[in-house]
Amino acid sequence: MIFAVISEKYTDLRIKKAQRGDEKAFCDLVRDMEPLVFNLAYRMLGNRQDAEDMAQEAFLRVYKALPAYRGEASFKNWTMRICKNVCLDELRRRSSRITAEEEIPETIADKTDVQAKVLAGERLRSLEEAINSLDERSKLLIVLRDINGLSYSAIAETMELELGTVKSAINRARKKLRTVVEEQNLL
Amino acid sequence: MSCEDIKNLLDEYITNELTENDKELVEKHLAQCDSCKAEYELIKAQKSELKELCEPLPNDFEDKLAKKIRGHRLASVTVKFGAGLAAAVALVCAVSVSHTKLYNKSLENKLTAVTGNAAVTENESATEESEDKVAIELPDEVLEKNEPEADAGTKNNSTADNETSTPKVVSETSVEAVVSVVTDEADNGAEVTEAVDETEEAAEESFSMARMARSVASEDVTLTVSADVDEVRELLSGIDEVSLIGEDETELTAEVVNLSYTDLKSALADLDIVDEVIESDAPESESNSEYTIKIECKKER
Repeated sequence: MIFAVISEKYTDLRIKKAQRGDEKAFCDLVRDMEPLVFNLAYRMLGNRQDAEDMAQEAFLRVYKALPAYRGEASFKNWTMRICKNVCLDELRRRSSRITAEEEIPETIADKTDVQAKVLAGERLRSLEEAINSLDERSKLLIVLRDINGLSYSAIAETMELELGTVKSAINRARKKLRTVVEEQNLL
Repeated sequence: MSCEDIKNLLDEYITNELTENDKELVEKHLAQCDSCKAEYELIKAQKSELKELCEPLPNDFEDKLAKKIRGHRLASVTVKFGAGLAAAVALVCAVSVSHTKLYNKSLENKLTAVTGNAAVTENESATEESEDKVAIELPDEVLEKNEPEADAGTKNNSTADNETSTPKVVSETSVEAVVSVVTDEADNGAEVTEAVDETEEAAEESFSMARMARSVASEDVTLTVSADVDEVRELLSGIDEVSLIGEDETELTAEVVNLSYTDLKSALADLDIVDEVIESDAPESESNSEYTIKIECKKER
């Protein structure tokens, strides 16, 4: 109980300070979220450099939008939502650029192929490939739930979906992922 | 519960997010249903593998972010200042043009006077024109702010010698005022808000301090934290079990009743602000204990 009260108050204080432009308070506020946002960006965009750029961009947007934050959603979920939107915007931008330039995008599998084999082994590489083959929504849900460990209600707030929809969509995404992995193993 | 219902709870069962009641239901069901048990093992294995895909954050991520935020803040202040400066320059130019026109006009009048024409009448009309110009080009608040000077200047208009100096006096004073207003705005509106907040906080603080006893005989525990007094006071203010009994610029002293010292310390330590703990007379860890705690705040207001 006391942990929750103090932690909530601490976050509120940081938000107020950050809203007044305190850079350090802002950095304190988002410190715990940095790995989550970075991982989401990494899985969405496919390589570390783009993920870092977009995660930084997402946090900058959060900072800019902070004066307008009124606490309707929890700060963490609000931040994750902004990150999700930044990544989706980037993917849309890439998609239109690729169509215009007729180029094949550099995928996570291309970039991390060697790295994944060396560092995480064949099994994890297959899993990464399987995740990449999912549609954007399924990928987002898997990352938010199983890699970032967000609760269903936090995901519902982040994705702006109903709780029931989130649960069933995550179940479907997991089944899809499992099917892809099984197909890979058969090859 | 059907198998479908149970399968929908498996994920939260694995992450320990279920209520005790639901947890029990799932456990009972898994003990007797092979299909759900198999599904449970699959989800658990998949989640465990996915967790391994967690990508480590780049080492310098936070430094880069701090720089980016600082850069944005400086840029926005510069833009505000630049906009303010541009407005001020534009105003100076407008007033200068106006003044130059008036000067030319008055010079013309003087020349006319020298040549023996109706100087007074024309000079008066020039003064009227100058007042019109200034009134149009200066913001209302500036005109209000400079009303006494403007009036004083207008009163001097009765003599032909002051006809050119009058609008000049009004203009320069007004421009100075505008630059001052604009610069204040450029200094960041947030700081103004902050100053107001701080004043309110200070008033509130002195009120609450007046209610507090100033000195405490001894403290059972001293915590040193890297936070300022205001922050710590705010953090403790929502906890019924903690009553502040003393405060100065760098320290807070509180009486704690029915709250375990271990829990209080852990809750503060959890925020990563506790630097040092000196337990001169460590209170009992039972939740019904009573003790005083001194919190030394390293960051002063």
